[in-house]
Amino acid sequence: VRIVTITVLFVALALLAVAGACGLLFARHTAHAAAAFLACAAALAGLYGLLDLRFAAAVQAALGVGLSGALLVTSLPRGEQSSPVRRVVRYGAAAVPLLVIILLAMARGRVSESALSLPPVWASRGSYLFALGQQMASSFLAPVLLICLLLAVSVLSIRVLLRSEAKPPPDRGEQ
Amino acid sequence: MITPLHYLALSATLFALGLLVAAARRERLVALLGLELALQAANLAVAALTSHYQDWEGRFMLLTLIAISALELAGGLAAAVRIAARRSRDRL
Repeated sequence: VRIVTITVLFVALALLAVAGACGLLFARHTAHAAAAFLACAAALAGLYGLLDLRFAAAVQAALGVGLSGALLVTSLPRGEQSSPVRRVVRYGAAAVPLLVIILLAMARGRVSESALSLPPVWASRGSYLFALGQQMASSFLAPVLLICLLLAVSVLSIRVLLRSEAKPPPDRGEQ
Repeated sequence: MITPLHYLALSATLFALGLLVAAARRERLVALLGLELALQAANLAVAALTSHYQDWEGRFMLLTLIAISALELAGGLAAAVRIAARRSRDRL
């Protein structure tokens, strides 16, 4: 049962990823491309979950799906043509892949609790996340700190980039 | 039965599609998304091999790659906001 379930999930997520990539290739508008990329990111998060890389799946779901969703919302047209109803429909469509991933994770957790006796998901002693945290704080402490530093510098750079755009140039012609 | 070869085949397909998007599309943001897709396809290959060999270093490399690709996407988001702000300012 488990092999069939994993095979079906793999095929479904692979089809979703390839469909998203094809949608990215043929999308006419940036918002459509962002929605296609959102589907790809969600499918990849599901595939990480299938590989039992739960922390990577959570990071991919939080960062990849979240950021591509933000990109989708940002690139939506803001003219008079987009009514509030259409905006709600578009935001809902953007949230569908994320909901699929959450439902898949919930279903997998339920199956693992009942029939398959897989290890627990969250950080009890001896679990995957517990071992990952131990490794992060011991063997891989220096690279983890270096990555955190690089991430902080990058986030600050993006913040400075956005702030410099938000400031209007001084208008001296009127004076 | 799903083997790492299936993941590698899917990763190669997504990588090729990502490069195709980056080469074929003129919009800079969509081209950036294509490059991002190619990078995430490479991440999938790393994840498949890491999970197969149960390697801790590969898992950390995967987390690093995911963080870097997310930062690239954040940079693309910042570029999109900047372009949108410039367009709206030009209209005014």
